[in-house]
Amino acid sequence: MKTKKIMIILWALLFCLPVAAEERAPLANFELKDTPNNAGEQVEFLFVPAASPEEVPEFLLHIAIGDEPVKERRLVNAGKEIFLPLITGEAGVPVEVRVEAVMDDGSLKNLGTSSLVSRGEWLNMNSMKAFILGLLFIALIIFYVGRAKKGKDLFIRKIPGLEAIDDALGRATEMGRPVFYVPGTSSMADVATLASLNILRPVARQVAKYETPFSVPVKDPIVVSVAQDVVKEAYMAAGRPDLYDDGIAYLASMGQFDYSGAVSGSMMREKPATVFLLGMFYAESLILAETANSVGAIQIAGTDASSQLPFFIAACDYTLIGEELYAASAYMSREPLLLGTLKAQDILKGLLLLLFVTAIIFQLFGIDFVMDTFLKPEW
Amino acid sequence: MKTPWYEKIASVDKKILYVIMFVVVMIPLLAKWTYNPDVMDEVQDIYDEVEEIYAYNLANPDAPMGILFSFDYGPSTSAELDPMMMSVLRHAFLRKIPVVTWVAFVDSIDLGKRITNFIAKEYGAVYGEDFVFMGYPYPMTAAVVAFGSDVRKFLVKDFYGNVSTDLPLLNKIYNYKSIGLIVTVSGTSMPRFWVTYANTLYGKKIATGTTAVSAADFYPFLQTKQMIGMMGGLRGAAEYEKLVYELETELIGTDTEMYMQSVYKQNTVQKWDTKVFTPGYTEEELREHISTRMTARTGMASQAAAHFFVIFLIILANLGYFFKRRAENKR
Amino acid sequence: MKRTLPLALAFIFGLIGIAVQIVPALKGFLNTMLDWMAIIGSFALALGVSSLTRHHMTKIRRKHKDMFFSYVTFVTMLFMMIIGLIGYFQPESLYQRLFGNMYNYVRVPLDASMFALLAFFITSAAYRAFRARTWLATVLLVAGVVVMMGRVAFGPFMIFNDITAWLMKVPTTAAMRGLTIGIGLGIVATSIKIVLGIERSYLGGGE
Repeated sequence: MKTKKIMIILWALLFCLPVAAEERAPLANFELKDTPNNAGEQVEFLFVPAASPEEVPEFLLHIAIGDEPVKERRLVNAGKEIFLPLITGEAGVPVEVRVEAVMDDGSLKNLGTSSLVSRGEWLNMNSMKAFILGLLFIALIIFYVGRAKKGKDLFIRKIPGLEAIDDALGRATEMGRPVFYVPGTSSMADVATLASLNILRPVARQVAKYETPFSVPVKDPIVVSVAQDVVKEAYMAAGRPDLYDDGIAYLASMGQFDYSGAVSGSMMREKPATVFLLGMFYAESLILAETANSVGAIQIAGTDASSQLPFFIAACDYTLIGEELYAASAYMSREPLLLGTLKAQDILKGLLLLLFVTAIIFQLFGIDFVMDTFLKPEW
Repeated sequence: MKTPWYEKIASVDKKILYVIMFVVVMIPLLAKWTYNPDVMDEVQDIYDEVEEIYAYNLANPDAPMGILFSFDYGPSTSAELDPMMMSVLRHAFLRKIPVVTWVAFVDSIDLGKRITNFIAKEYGAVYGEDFVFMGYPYPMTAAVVAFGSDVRKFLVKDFYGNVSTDLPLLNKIYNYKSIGLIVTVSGTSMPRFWVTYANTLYGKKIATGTTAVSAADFYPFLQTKQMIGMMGGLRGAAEYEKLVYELETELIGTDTEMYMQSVYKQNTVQKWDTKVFTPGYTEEELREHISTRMTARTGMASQAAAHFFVIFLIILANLGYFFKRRAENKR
Repeated sequence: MKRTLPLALAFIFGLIGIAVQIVPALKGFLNTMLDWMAIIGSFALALGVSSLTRHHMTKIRRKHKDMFFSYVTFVTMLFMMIIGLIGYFQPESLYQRLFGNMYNYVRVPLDASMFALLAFFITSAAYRAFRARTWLATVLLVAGVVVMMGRVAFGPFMIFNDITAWLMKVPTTAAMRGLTIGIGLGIVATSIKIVLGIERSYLGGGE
C-alpha cells in the first residue's frame, strides 16, 4: 500500500518536472480548447500575452492542423488577449500550435506547444431549452387534440374580425363588386404568410359559392403558386371549378412600393366591396388600407408586424391583432385538431406567464435561481 | 334644408385635406425653417458613448477603439435615415475615431460608399488609415461572427479590392476587442439581428437609428440595455445633428466652408486616393456639404407643421362628431 | 398520394429543420438546404414572370376595360429587360448608363413618391379614426395627440416631450412585449401544426 502511494507521488512529480523547469513568469499564456456545441469543425486558441510589447514585440505561431502543412502566423503584441478560431473541418483532427516569442533583439524563444484533437458533440446544449419547450408543446397538443376529438367542448372567445368575414363577403355579393385578398407582402418563409393562406381557403370557398369576382394580388412568386393552388382547391370544394381561373391569384409586382402602387391602382379601378389585408406587412400597410377605405370597401386586416398594427387599427374596420391571425384557421374551421392546438397554445402561454411572474417575485427577494435556470437564453 | 356645419366637417373631401397637407409640408421646406429639438436621453447616450471612445483613444493612442457603421437600409428610407448616418459619421471623423463601414443589402452598396466618402472628405480622412469601406459582406451572419476573431480572414479584401491585411486601419481594428460601438441604421429588423449576434454573443454596445414607424419595436431593447441608445425617426436625427453641429462649431468654428476648403489647400502631398474621392470641392459640392448639415432640422420643421395640422384636424373632426351626436340626441 | 406526399415532405423537412438546430453534426446539411432554397428561389422568379405575363395577357385578350395598363406593364418590363441585358454585356456603354439613369431617376423617385403618400394617408386616417366614440377611443385619441405634440414639442410644450418619452418607454413597451410573446408562441404553434400535418389548408384542402 505504501509503495503504491510513493509510486503515485513519483509519477506526479515526473509530470511536474517540465513545468518546474520553465521560467517562473511565462511570456505568454495560451491554450487550445475544443469549441463546445459544435461538430468538431472548429477549435479555439486563446492567447494572452504576459510580456510587455517592448520586451516581446511579436509572437510567432506554428499552426499544424491534421495533414495540412504547418502554417506560420505572426501576432503583434498589443497587450490584448487574442482569440483565434482554427478551422479543422471535422471531428478527430489533431491540432498543434507551437508558440515562439520574437524578442526585441530579433531572437526567437520557444514558449512551448499546445495540442488537441478536435471533438464533436452530439447535442447542441444551447438549443436544449427551446427543444424541451417544443416537446412540452407537442405533448400538450396531443393531449388537447385527444380531448377535442372525444367531443369535449373547447371554448374560444369571439374574434370580431373573423365573425365579420361572412357579412363582408355577403355585402360584396349584394353590391356585385369584387373581393380583394392580399396575403401580406412577405415570402413563404414567413409564418404569417402561411397563416394568411390558411384563411384564404375558407374565404375563397365562400366567394366561389356566392359567385363573387375575386382577386388575390401577390408580391412573392412562390406565394403565387401556393395561393393559386389554395384558390383552385377551394373553388372545387365549393363545386364551382368552372369559375376558377389562374389569373385570380397573380404576381402584381415584386418591389414593395411598386406592389402597393399596382394594388392601389386596381382597387381604384375595380372598386372592391371587401378587402382582406392578412399576413406580414411593412410600410405599405397604410397605403393599401387607406386606398381600400377611399373606394368604400370594408377592410378586414390582420398582421403580426407590431409596428404596422396601429395603422391597421386606425384605418380598417376590423383588425386581427398578432396571434389572432394564427388562431384564425382554427376559429373558422372549428376542426377539433386545430382547436386542440389552440388550447395547447393558451396553456403554454399561461405556463410561461406563471414562470415569468414567479421569476419576478423571486428576483424581488434577490433570488436569481428561477430567472437563471429557466429564462436565460443559454442552458 | 342647409347642411349643418358639423355634417360638413364630418364629410370633408379627402382631396381637400391632401392639398392642404401638401402646402403645409412644402412651406417650411421652401422657407428653410429649422426646428431646434431638445435632446432626449436615448440620443444623448449615443453621443456620450462616442465621446467616451474619443477619451479612450486619447489615453491609448497605440491601441485605439473604432466604430463599426452598418448601413442596414436601402434607398426607400434614405430620406429619414441618411441624416442619422451622416451625423454620427461626422461625429466620429471630427473626433478622429477609426471608422469601418459596410452595408447589409445589395442595393445599399452605392449608398453606403457614397455617404462614407462624402463625410470622410469633409475632414480630409485618409482611406485605409482613418476609415475603410468593406462593401457588402455575404452572408452577413458569417461576417458578424468573423468579427469575433479576425474579420480580415473573412473579408480578405475591402470594397476597392485592397487586401485587408495591407490596410493599416484593419491591422489595428480587426475584431470586436477594438470596436467600441456598433452603429446600425435601419428601417428593417436588422437592429434586432445585431442585438442577437454582436450584443448577446460578444457583449458589444449597439446604437440604433431607425424610422419613426419602427422605433416602438426597439424600446424594449433600450430598457434591457441591449442597445445603448436609439435615434428614432427624423426627430432623433435632428437631435444628433444638433449635437454634432454644436461640437463642430466648438472645434472648427462657424465657417465650415472655409474649414473644408482649407483641408485640401494646406496639403500638397498626394495622400488621398482619387478612387475614393477627389480632393477639393466645386461650388455645387460645397453647397451640398453645407446643406446636409441641416437636413434633419429643416425636415423636422416641415414635420412639425404636419403634426400640428393633423392635431388641428383631429380636434376639428371631434368637434364635428360631438355636435353631430348632440344634435342626434336632441332629435 | 397528391395529399400524402406534400405532407410527408413537410414532416420530414420540418424534423430536419429542428434536428440541424440541436445536432451540430448536421450543420453541413443546413448549408445544402440553403443552397436548395436559393435554387428553388431562382426558379420562382421565372414562375413569377410567367404569372404576371399570363395575368396581363388574359386582360388584353378579353379586351378588359383597363387593358391599357397591361400594355404599359409589358412595354416597361421589356424595355428595362432589354437595356439591362445589353448593358450587362456591354459595360460602360450607352445602354448601361440608360439603365442606371432609368433606375436612379425614374424608379427610385417613383418608389419614394409612393412612400411619401403615407403623409397624406395618415392625414385622412387620423381625421377619421381618432374620434372620442368610447372612453377607450378617447384614451387612444389623447395618447395620440400627446405623442404627436411631444415629437415636435418646443418651448412651453416641452412637457409633452417628457410625457411622450414615458408613454413610449412604459405602456408601449409593455404592450409590445406582450404582443411579441403571443406572436412568438403563435409562430411556434403554426410551425408545429404544419410539421405534424395538423394544419393543411395551405396545401389547398383540408379533407
